[in-house]
Amino acid sequence: MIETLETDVLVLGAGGAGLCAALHAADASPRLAVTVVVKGLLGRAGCTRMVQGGYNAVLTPPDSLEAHLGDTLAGGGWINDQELAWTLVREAPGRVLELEARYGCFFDRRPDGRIHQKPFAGQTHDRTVHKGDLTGIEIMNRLAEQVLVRGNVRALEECRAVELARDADGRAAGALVLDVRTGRFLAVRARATLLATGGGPTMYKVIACSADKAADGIALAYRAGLPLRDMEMIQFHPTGLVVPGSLMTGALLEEGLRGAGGRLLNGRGERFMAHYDPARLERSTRDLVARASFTEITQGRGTPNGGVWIDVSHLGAELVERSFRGMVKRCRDFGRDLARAPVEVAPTTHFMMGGVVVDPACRTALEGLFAAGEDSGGVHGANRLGGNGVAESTVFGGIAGDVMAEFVAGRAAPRPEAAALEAAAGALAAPLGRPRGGADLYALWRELREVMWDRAGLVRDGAGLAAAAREVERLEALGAAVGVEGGPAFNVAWQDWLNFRSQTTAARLIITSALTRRESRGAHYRQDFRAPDPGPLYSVRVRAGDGAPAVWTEPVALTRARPPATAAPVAMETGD
Amino acid sequence: MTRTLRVFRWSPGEAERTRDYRVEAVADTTVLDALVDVQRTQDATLAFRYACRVGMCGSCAVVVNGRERWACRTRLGDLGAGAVSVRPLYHFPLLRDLVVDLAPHAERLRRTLGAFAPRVDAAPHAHVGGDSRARARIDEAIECIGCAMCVSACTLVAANARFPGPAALNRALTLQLDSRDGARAARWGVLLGDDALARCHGQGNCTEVCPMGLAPTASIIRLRRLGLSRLLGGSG
Repeated sequence: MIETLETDVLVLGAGGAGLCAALHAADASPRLAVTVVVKGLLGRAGCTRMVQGGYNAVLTPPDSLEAHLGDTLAGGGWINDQELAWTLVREAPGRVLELEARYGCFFDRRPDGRIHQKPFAGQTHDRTVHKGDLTGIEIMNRLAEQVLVRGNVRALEECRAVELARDADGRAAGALVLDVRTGRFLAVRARATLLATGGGPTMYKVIACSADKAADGIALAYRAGLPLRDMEMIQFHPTGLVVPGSLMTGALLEEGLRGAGGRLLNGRGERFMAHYDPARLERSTRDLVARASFTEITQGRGTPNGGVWIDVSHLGAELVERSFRGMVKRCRDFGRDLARAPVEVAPTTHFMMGGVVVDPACRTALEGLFAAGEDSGGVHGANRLGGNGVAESTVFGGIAGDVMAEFVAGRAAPRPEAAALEAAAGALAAPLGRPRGGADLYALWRELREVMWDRAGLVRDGAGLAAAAREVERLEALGAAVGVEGGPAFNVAWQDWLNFRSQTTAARLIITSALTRRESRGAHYRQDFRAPDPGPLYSVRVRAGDGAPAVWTEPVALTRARPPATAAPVAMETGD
Repeated sequence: MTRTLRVFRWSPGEAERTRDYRVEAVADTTVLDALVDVQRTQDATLAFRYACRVGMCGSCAVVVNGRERWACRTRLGDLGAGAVSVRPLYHFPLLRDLVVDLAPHAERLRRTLGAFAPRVDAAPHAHVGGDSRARARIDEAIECIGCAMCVSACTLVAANARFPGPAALNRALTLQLDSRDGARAARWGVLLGDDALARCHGQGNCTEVCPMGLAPTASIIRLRRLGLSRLLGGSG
């Protein structure tokens, strides 16, 4: 018998989206009980924590909401949901001020007292609010403190959602949660549930995002039959550290380095961006810079360890050490001197633009279930601008909290179907009883990450994607039969098995969607379709079908802005 | 190069012990890399904690060769020759192997009113001056990642359960300097009580182990000065 916990609002995930949602819901009424499921430690799990550069918000002229919207749509290859993008830019300034005034965030200010905003790639104005180069730590520390002192918010630390619960009428009814420490399952019955687990493309070989993520929310939504969108759009950040043999590999060096004038050099010392985007050079959008670096590396013009160089030494060591303290230290711990010499970097898998289909009130297709942050799709289209990620999570997390507080008012608590949860728990615990032997979980995982990197990565083609689909299916089947040693309590291997399960599910959605988009746009580059489709703009949708994902396309509604007729193709590429 | 990792093991109902593992290390292999390698290839049941794995979340804080360190940013090669011992943080209840219960850490923060509380009379867009001394002081102390290494290194937290410890006091300084905060008077009540600021011996262990280069010892001294001037009728 699974223990049951009752709550009004259940928040799955505890990054910027989850905690903003929890605080907004909790503050809407002290009578609401809010429960937050945190995969790790409160305030320290997920990727909001890892935000370096900052938070895009329009605060003063000559910047404008229209300019921020235009940059977001152009950066997104015009397949964004324009209502979501507009909600982002419209609400971001208010959220920044709320983070400061209500939760105590301490963003950098100019000597005259105004909030300091720095330049970020792909943006027409200096728009990025920050706290040094460790903005996410500031935001998450303050949000977590607020959660700690709210009497009506309960954080379940080191717990993870493993299945969404439904009632007899098919409405969302909470979730089945696994307590990592004890290994026990818990049925959380809730009147409103938020998916905010933060996506996480950890099924790729080189990653920038937090290693605790596994696209759990994406997999939960898919299994619940929800439609997802633009899953092919995976952002590769151009400047991940190259640290041979270490998990540090892929760790970001922030975008502000390029914004401040940092140069990228190939192994021959050439400033190669001149060949790919002569006008913007290193300040071009992430997708272009990442693919350019990738091209240099794969064509044999890389550094000894298979990267390119980022060089900021010409900015002056003193300035670099002052402005990018966290980055300098991150490099120094590994014997690299960012302030005085070039450092090896390479593209790294950073962010999932795609996700659950939502409306601007964070509602999903399932009554009672909401989604916000990286688990949701549509805000960023085909490519996310640096600084729009934490803006998205906090803006939409806050909205979700408000909306859920209103939604639960007067609504009866749904009754989750207990038999379904018992069955799910049984299936998820199955590897613990199985003898080890057969396939090795970590070998399968390594294979998955290689396949995704090689075939569904920065440069894709139809044949490679089809091969990847077969590979992932094979790995998924092998993974399902794996046995895990040890008991249920704090069993790292069992948790990794659950991670692998989510990762393979999400991998299949990425591949299926990438096969469907027969063009190049934003982060999605097809060697066999190198140009953007000149036809109408569309979004790729996917949901659970008969045994395999069902995929279709939907036209993009240009409700706020239209792409300029002469727009440079987003997937412009010169080299091969 | 082959290195020996001497890892603390414990689970409920068992005696504490250490176990040696041999790991292959290259120049940039970290303590976390070695633990992950052990768990994946030698001993699947080893329990340890990490999340971001790049020094932002502090989840992987452990005691390495007797000193608190973040496993993800500590290279084996920087630890000298010989076996590398890894044990859980001190002064926290053990959960399993290298994993401790950090609930007391949060409790200390709560007791010192470690959350920002907006002033009721705050002007819109109230802020700490861009070039003010207070801002410079806050900036020096604010980038805490909550790893609790300073608490583990502090000799006082074990002796006095009511002592808030370095992390909570460091956070308190950033709040007492923050003109936007409305709980400063109440917080002084806690800080100037018997078991807070007055208890620190100034040994500086916390400052020595802080992976972010913060100086809780200096924060405590600053708080004492501010508190003193408040007691003497200043504005503190």
